[in-house]
Amino acid sequence: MVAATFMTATQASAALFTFETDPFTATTPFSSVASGLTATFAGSSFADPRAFEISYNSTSGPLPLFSGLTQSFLTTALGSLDPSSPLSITFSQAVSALQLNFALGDRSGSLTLMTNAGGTATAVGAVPAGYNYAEGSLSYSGPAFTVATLSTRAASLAVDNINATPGAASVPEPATLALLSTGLAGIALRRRRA
Amino acid sequence: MTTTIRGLALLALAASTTALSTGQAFAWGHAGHVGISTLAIQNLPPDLPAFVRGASPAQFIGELGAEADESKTTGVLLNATGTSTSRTVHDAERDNGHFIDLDDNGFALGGSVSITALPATREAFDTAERAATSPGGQDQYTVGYLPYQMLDGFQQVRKDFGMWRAMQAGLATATTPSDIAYFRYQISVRQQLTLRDIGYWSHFVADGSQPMHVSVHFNGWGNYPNPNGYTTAGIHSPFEGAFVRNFIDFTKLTIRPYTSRNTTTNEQRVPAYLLETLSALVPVYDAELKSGHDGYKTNQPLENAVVTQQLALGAAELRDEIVDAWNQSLNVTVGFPLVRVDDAVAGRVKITPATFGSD
Repeated sequence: MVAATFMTATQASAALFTFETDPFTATTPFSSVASGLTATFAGSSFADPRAFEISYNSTSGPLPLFSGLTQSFLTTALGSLDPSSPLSITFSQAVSALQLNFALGDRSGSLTLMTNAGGTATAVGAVPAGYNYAEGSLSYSGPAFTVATLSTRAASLAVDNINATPGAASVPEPATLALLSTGLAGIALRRRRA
Repeated sequence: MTTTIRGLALLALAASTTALSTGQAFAWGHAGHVGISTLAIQNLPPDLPAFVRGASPAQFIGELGAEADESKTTGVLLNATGTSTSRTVHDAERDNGHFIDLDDNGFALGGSVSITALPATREAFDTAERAATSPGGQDQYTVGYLPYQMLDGFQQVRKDFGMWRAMQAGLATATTPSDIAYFRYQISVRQQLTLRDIGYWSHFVADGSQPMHVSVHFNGWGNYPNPNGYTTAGIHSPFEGAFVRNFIDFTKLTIRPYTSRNTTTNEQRVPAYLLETLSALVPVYDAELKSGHDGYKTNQPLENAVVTQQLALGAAELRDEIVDAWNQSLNVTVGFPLVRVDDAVAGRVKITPATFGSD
């Protein structure tokens, strides 16, 4: 019973946040829903919770902005009081894996993800041919978490296509399931003898 | 206010070139201005505040780079049949700030004012031009007052940065919730104003890199001695508009490192910049001549080289002047009674809401 529930959780479909239908120029904090999962985006509550906004990826001008981001994305707000504010994402249920595309406001730099379960991941950006800003993809898989914090030392941060997989950290190995079954059987036997 | 001969000529050119808008016939086209302004911001050094350097500011300032052209015809109303009325205050006052007609020796049309010895104010420049005799009948509007438009915008941006520095100092030492809220709001307002001011002003710095914006040979060589046989056809609009849009890849355009131009003030720097641009005027006509009088209509290598060079010059100059504005902003005064920004930043003077709000 326990194992079955566990498996169901890890097989839940991933939720994709693209910001395409979020109100243009909406500023943090705001929430977005995808596949039943709610994500609340916020800047630093101390420095500037409104540090991020939905913006537009101009691709038709003489210098197209970003390669790996779609038309609408979440980015450091124009005129933010704290352009270096980390971006926090709070999910309505535990998430075990996360992938996203990002772009930085410099030609080099990295993005670091930290979770409230102690997990971390870092991705280094690179400038795509024909573009001017470091971009990349960040992937995380590990202990389930509800809050992820994204931070960079670049002049600005933009994120898009956030793919969050609800559930626990990992699918139990067969050996783990066997051990768990043995334990449960032992408990049942002990209760019967008691 | 009289409409300039230059303006009429370019209006006629624009009207006869259906593929180009009026705005594109007046300065670098939209692509050129957006490209120059964006590129300049993308090349700012990391010691400038992040609110100016990031990707969003580059996009925002880039768009505003074309704003001074988009603003043209603002004073024009159409009557019931669609015929335009005469130009009005907005256009008559502003349109002539996009250029200055210099002769081959760097003297403003009229012969009395050298670009290297500009009067301190636009009013004094106008007075000198009205006294000019070779040829006579000049004023700031017929000659154009681009250097003063550039200086005006630079000084505003420098002041914006000074205000921002002082308000950051005020926020750092504020102790009450109301004072903290005050400075946070003021900084937010100042940041938005700064981005707007840089964007609008960037247009004129970019205009200053277009050789035909600083010369009497502004649209074909004109009625001047022409021993080299330079074209007298209208090349102004194709040079800065369609050629840039169709043949320039801004992603491959690199700009030179910062230079002070061996100057210490913007009043010295702007003439040096415009003289560098004027030195490219003959190469502009030379490239057209050696390209079989192509008229900047097709992608000829010599023509491409000179257009690329001038776009890169504009972006570098804009980047450099923003850096200068930031550095010089320590030496401006803010508030009332006036406070030196360097005193505020060093903590020698405490900045409070009263610094800005005590009338």
